[in-house]
Amino acid sequence: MKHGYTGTILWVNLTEKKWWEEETDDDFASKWLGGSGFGAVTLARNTDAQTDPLGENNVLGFFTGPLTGTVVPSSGRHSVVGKSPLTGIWGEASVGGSWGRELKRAGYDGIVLLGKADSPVYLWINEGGVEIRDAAELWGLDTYQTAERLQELHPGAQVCAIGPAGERLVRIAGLFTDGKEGRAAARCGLGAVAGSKNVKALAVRGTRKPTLAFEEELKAKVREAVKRIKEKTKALREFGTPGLVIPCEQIGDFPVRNWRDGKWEEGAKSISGPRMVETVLSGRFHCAGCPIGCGRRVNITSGPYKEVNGGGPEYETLGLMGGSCLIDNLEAICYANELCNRYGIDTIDTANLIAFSIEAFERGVIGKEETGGLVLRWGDPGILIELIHQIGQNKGFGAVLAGGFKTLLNGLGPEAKEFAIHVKGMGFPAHDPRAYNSIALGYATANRGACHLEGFSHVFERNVTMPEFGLSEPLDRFSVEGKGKLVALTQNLMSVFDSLALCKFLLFGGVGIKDLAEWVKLGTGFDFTPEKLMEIGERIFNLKRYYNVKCGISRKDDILPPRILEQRRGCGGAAENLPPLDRMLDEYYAARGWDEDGIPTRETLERLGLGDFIF
Amino acid sequence: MKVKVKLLAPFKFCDDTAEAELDMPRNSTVRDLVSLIAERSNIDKYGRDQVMILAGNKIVGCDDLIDKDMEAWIMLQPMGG
Ligand code: SF4
Repeated sequence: MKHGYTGTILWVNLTEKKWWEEETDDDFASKWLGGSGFGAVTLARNTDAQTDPLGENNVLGFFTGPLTGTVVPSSGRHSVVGKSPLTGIWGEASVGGSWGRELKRAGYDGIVLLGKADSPVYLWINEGGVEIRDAAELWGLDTYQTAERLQELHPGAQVCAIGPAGERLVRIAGLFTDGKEGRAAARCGLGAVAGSKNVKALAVRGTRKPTLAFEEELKAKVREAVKRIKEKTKALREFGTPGLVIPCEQIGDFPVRNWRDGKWEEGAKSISGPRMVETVLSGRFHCAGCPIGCGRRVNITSGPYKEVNGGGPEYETLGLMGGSCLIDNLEAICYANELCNRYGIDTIDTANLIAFSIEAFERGVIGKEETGGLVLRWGDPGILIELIHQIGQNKGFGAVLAGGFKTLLNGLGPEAKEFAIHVKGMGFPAHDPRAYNSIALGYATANRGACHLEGFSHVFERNVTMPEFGLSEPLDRFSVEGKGKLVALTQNLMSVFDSLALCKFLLFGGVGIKDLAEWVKLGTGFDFTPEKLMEIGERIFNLKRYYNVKCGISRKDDILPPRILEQRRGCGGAAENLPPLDRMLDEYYAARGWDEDGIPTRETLERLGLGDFIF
Repeated sequence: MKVKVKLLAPFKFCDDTAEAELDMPRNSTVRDLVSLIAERSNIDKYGRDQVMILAGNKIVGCDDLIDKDMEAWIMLQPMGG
């Protein structure tokens, strides 16, 4: 096996209480890279359209990349995959922290969980394999408490855990690592998949270091790159992702009042990155091996939100709890963020569902009868917090929200669809597609539903360039021509990042595909070129799409809510733009080699070496 | 040519204000404008490549020419997800 990898995947059958190790070979690694790529092939081989996401037959996989745990910067991430109970299709969440590095040190490139334990368990994984241990005493604890308890039992271990929401099969529950720092594999409801398997947590500890093909050369390259990355990302280190709040509000990229309005200037200032630095910020942290360190710690010591002490809200949380629910109280958002982390739920879907509910209440689509007597109002932190408790505990009106948009809309009239802001059942991240045309296409075609990270194309419409792809200048964000090609290209590139399990924020540090190819080559010994990596990225993206097609996805699902396609906001930095999605989709499908209905053609699948998967 | 400039947090002019009207020679570029602002503000703290400029609804590049009656809003480049 090439360097970088351990060459071993740990498989655990929870029903039969058995585990075994499977070796991977060079062919497999060079075709799928790792992380998200290993996840794609695992899901495609072990689940199908009939698999119930919360049934025993779903799989839950955790995968590192070939550079995880090495000197390569920002390489501490890993991917979690499973069929999503939120969307019913491909499900994946990439997460930072230190858990992925620890798994590699324990000797594994990944873990796959099959079946269902007959009572709550946690997995204790170390260099000797895995023990399936009773988790009765952990069941009911929040994610921070679980990590703390398991670290008492297993000093030095890294913990990935679900909270009470995952236990109660809340479909927007995630898996959380790094204890109080609250790094989250939040999206797609994969915490509920763990809960459905009765798995409370995975504690892992290891000491092995991956070998490298050309260690000294790699170190030298990395030294050079780290200098550049640090220099170019000073602002990201200083303000974290909350630094996005003010500029995104200015350029019309910020969700305001459930995506209805275009401006919220004073509100944005009061929950911004600079405001956080002046008020609640108590420290900064970074994922394993990251020279950027965008993580924020917040601490509130007095007032109604005084228990807060841990990872602070990211941009997405500030945008959606703040702008979309019109809450301009930073401390309240920090508190709500921590509650979500502790219950183990996705702040993005949580806040989207709450903003939608407030509007539905305002319009009379739902009333006190549905909300259990709650009066839902904009700008009310009390309502936000109460609904988070209800979602986390899967009770009251929160139990309706806990199913996500798909189930929520089933019970409401057609009017509700107009302002339910989701794609394929997953709520929007805090970037408005009316501010960047490419993000409209990215949300519509991302394999896991509305996702800005699967394409990350909007950064090329704003400040990032990549001359090797002909992107020497940022593109005009409102232009249409070429956006189909751009999104296909950036989705392939992001598939490479996710499969190497590297952080995409490296792009802001000037890291491009040439660096990635060089690092992988020096790390693993594979003779990868940028072109070869991009072909692998394309293969992985197409396999996920093909999986979704088999689950019934086609052009009819590659859509955006009417509000986003038809309603101009009339003010703010993108007041008049509406993304012409259909036109861009035609170009995109052509660039991908898919037919007009968005189905990958046989030729495309065979060209990418996916012939084995055609069924 | 007069250019109206507004700095957004964390940026501010040395006198603690956020807005100014600056005189720029004809045919100046955005880069020239940024250099002038840098002399009077804290925008260099994070590096000039970490600044973004919005004119109307357009994100302008350093080589773009300054338009007559331009209003430039200077902010941190959005970095992150
Ligand atoms: S940039 Fe932030 S999210 Fe990315 S690896 Fe570093 S600390 Fe983690």
